[in-house]
Amino acid sequence: MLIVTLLIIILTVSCELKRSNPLDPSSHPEIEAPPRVTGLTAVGSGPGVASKYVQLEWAINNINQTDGYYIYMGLAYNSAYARIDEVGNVSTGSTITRVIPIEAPGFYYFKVSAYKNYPDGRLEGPLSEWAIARVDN
Amino acid sequence: MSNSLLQKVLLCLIFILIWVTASAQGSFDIDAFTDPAKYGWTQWEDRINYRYDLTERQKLLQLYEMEAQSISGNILKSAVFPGWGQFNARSYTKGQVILAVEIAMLGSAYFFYDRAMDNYEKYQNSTQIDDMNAYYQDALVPYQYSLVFMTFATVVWAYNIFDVVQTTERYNAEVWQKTLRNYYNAPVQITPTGIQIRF
Repeated sequence: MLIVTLLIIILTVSCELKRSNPLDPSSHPEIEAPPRVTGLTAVGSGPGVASKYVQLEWAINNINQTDGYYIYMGLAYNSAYARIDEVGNVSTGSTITRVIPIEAPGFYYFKVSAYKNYPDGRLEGPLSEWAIARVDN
Repeated sequence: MSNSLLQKVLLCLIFILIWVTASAQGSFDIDAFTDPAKYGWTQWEDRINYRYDLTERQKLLQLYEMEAQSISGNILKSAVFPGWGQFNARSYTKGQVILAVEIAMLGSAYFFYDRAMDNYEKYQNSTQIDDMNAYYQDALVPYQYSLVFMTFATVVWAYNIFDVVQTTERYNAEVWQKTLRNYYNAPVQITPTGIQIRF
């Protein structure tokens, strides 16, 4: 019984799945994931504005670690977020501002992530904390 | 080599052959060979009874061999299909248990392996770092479960092979006992002293 238990433990520990994704930083030291985007704020358009929008702003990442950003939008902080826009890299200033047109008034939640291009594809970093915006009628 | 030398060599060889044959016959003890006391036969009837017993056993052996099972054959059956050898040796419950456990282990191993590979494929296709790590972890855990179940399935399979040897030996021993019982409890028996009928 002891031998069987040892055999099972050895098998379980030794037979791991290979991290074969070419963009996986765990198995490819030359790959570096872009850092998490910080300082995200979202401000919705005020009442009476014809073309409703949300203005997003976040701190720029190190240009060597990031080639661009993805913007995600959801209808609740814990809902599914859909990618709605993509922003190229900006080398000047300390923040990036983006205006997102909105069709209907309400509360909207946003997240932003950074990405970096590699020969095997584009690696996207972790999503930022969510930011909420209220768009008035 | 001349003919005379060849004849001499041939004569020597024949002489050696004759001498070896004669000396071998000289060392053979015919009295010891034909002494019936060495088999424990003190009387003529002992020898008759022994021969009768031997004939009886040969008959029983033929009956036994008709029903006895080959251990290697049952090992092969159980190796191909766990429990088959036990079924063959009339150990139905044991065969059912081994088969059920083996199917359960292999089924569970396949279930977890399939789930692991599903998540592993998502991991391979993912480009977002959080998804990548989450899918890898989601693949790793069921993969380890599948390995554990596969190991248990191998252990059960090995036990099944070990068990079928014992089961077949036990079955063959029962066959021998049954053969003896049936033969000696038969209502009509032919013995050296005549025909015996039991009521």
